[in-house]
Amino acid sequence: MIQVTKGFLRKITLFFRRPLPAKIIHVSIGVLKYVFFAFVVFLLYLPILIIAVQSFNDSRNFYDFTFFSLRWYEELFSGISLANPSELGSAIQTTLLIAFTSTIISTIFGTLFSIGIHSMSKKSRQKMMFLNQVPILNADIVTGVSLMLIFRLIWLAIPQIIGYPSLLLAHVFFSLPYVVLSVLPKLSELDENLYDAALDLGCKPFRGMTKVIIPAISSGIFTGMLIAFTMSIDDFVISFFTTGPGINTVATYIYSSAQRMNPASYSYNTLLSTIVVVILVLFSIISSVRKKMSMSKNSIHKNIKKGAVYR
Amino acid sequence: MNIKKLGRYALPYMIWLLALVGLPLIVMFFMTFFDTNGFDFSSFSFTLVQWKSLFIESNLNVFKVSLTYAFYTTLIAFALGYPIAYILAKSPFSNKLVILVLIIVPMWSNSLLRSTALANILSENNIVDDILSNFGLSFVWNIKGTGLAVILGLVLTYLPFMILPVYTVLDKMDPFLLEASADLGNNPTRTFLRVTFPMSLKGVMTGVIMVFLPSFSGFAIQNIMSGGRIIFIGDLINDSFTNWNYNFGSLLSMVVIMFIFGSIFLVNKFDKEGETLL
Amino acid sequence: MKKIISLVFVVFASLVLIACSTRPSLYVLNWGEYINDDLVTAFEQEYGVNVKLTLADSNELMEQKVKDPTTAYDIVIPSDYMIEKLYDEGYLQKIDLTKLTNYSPDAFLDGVNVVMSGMFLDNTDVESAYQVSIPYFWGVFGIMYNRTLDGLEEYIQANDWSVLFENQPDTLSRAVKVGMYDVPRFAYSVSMLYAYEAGLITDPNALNTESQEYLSLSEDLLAMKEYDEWATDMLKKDIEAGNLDYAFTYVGDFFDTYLILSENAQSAEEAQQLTSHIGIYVPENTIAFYDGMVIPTNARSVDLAHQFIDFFLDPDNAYENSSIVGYTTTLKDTYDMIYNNTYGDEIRSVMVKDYPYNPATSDSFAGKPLIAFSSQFTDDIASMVNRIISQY
Repeated sequence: MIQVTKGFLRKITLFFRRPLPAKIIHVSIGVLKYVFFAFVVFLLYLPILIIAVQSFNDSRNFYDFTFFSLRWYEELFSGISLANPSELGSAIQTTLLIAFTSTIISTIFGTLFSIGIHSMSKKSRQKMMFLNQVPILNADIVTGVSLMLIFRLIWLAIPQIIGYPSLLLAHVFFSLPYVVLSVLPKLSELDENLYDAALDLGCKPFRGMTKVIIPAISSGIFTGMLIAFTMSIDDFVISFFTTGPGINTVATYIYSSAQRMNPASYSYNTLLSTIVVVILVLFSIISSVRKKMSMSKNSIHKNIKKGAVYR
Repeated sequence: MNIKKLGRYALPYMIWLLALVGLPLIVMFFMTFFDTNGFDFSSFSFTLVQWKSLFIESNLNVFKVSLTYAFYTTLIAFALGYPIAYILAKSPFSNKLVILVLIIVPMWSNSLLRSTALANILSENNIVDDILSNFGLSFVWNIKGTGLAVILGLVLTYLPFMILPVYTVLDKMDPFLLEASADLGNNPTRTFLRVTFPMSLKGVMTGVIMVFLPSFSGFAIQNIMSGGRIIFIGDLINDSFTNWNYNFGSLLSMVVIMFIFGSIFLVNKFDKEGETLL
Repeated sequence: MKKIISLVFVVFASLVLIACSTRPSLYVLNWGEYINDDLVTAFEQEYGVNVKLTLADSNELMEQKVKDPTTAYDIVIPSDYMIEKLYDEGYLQKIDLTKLTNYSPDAFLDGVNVVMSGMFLDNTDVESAYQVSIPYFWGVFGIMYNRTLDGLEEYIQANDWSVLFENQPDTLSRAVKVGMYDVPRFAYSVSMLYAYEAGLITDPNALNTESQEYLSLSEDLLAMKEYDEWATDMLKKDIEAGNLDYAFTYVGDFFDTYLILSENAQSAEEAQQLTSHIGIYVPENTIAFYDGMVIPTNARSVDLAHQFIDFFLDPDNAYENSSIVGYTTTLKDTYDMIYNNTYGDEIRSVMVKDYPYNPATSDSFAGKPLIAFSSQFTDDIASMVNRIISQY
């Protein structure tokens, strides 16, 4: 704590010693940075805010705001019951289930596959990456139709494949390339000597991998996981072609209703965004409070923060 | 290098990709030369009519339009996204991952709803204007149906996909390299141009791919933002497949793939050491 | 790590178990917001079944789903031309009319009978179109408009379909914003209706004819105006908000909007006030359509499907259904209930009197349903429309 204050005071004194124009530029750049950041984040959230407004609109008509009402939230909650879910309710269940499961599966396997790809010879790697990029490149409907046809072939042997299994497989299929794409670059920055050292010290290869490689590429894995989840939660075309009868995701439900859909979808979206944001903000506050408490306990400032001290 | 022995982990993926990606690709390639009704192979004849219709003016026009919009979208996403990622990576904030997730949360809302909401406020009579009129204020920016609306819609939808990879690369950048550069006499700007930016190129390329491709081959967002007046290749592909013309749809898809890979191949020629994408 | 995996497994397994109930299931493929969910629940409770609804937003997508051997639906509700096409290709089975207690040949409105009599004329094994499909909702196409612009209503009423193609007159003070329905098939048909009206062609049945000559004529006609919007359900919303002045839409779109706007109205007068800015006009030569319940050949629960159809043939149930869906009901009794305000719904009673809810009140009604085109020609029309749009 004292260290931080000292550093801050030092910054301020240095700042006031600089010539005036530099001061102004420095301040304005600093302010500009945060204004710019806030502005872009606002833009990103703008559609969400509009959806939130629409979710409180009593009228189904989204151009006119008649009056404030919670009826769509009521409808959403009564539809989510596990016993007798409404169309939207069961779609939400399916979406969340498939999103979580496919994300976990594609993250785990994507990471393993990336490690494998990284270790291949250049030629094999190029072939793999070519095939890997194709699902990302292809229009959704092409992936959807080709998967649908493959599932049709499998269905001849295993009829149970159609439904949740085919939906899950399809989601894993299009999420994997994104995970690979996120993890692979991190692997190329990896210091391979660390892995060798681990093996020399007696680790089995798998253990060496989990203890050495994975922590080093963890940010890539996290990014890949985020992207996989995002792709899965909002996919509609591919899901439409690979799902079973009666099984809808929120995205296929909204897409197939064109604009005739139930405004409870707005409530769902608003709730989802709000809950996640609140959780994140709380998490961030709690963990920074924790950090401050543990820092004040240590008198020796152990961590070298990147960038902050060097300015 | 022991790590090379881990190559076998990729084997199942190779099989998976060959079956689910390679096989359909080959089938699609053959489909472009035949005239089938969907996948009804009972009556098919060899024909090059699909290839001929590819080159008619309106299709080339659509191709050009898609490219232009995707290009501008990517450019703007880069112009906005790179600074954001940079600011975030260099900030002293302790919970950057939280901010990162906050940036991607909008993408968990359905993209159709988001686009419709955006198109809503970009229309002449919109919901915000309706509410504000109760207070004597107004907000009208009637650009729905124009190219600007399409670009806005695409950028706002895919911007997080540019921010994420760039941030990942910038975050783990070795600070000692920056210090070394400063020690060698470079001012911050030169450090950025000569050290930081080139090292972040991999992330930039990933971001560019993840923004450019969906913009290019999607159909829903521009359909909503332009009121159906601007169509991309994605619209053509979608229409072909829903009308059972898998042949033409396959052809268009193959053209897209070949075009992208052609560009990547060219980029690779200039990027001697990096294996950015292949 | 392991804890997370096992947690996922538990959640997954429990949800799967919940999903697998012991009740039989009925698989229905329908349009979005096209059925009253309360009625579906009532049906589920009465017959002890689980109704699994799948949605599609176009006939072509419904076609894909029906033709997919891996997904078997018990009830599908496509439009007329798709019904005929699916039956011709052998994907539908005949309905056993004896199993429908609520069915009788004169249960339907006259207009419905007219439309149905024009179907399946080439199929010798079908005596009555009702053997293949039971009409669910029906209606015609028209021009929905926003009354705010002075002189617009008179302009539309005097000029029928040409308002979609020809230049606007000087009597209108500003440039009008016009919308076209984004289903290429409909755009082609309306351009043919206009062509006949304007004397450019002599065949009144051009809208149902596959001809390259007509196709290129249609291309010229549709390119005459640069439409401000090509959309489906958005058109009615934009007209209501004033973002469009008029568009080619289903008449049912108008009634949908009327119902939405008058949702909280306390009286018919209030409803009329709330909807005074929108209007609908139906030219005499128009396209009629109906959406019908059909049973695919690979349906698994055929008897249950019949019970489902029977349930919606009950006039009281159809009345409930009509309170959610603005399109015109097909049953005579239900229409009478609405018209005569039998259940105290004054707003709807006034609505059907003010506007052409039942378009077949005149003897000259000859609404033409669309017939199925070959996939090739459908694709040609779609390409044609895309060509036009790409020139904007």
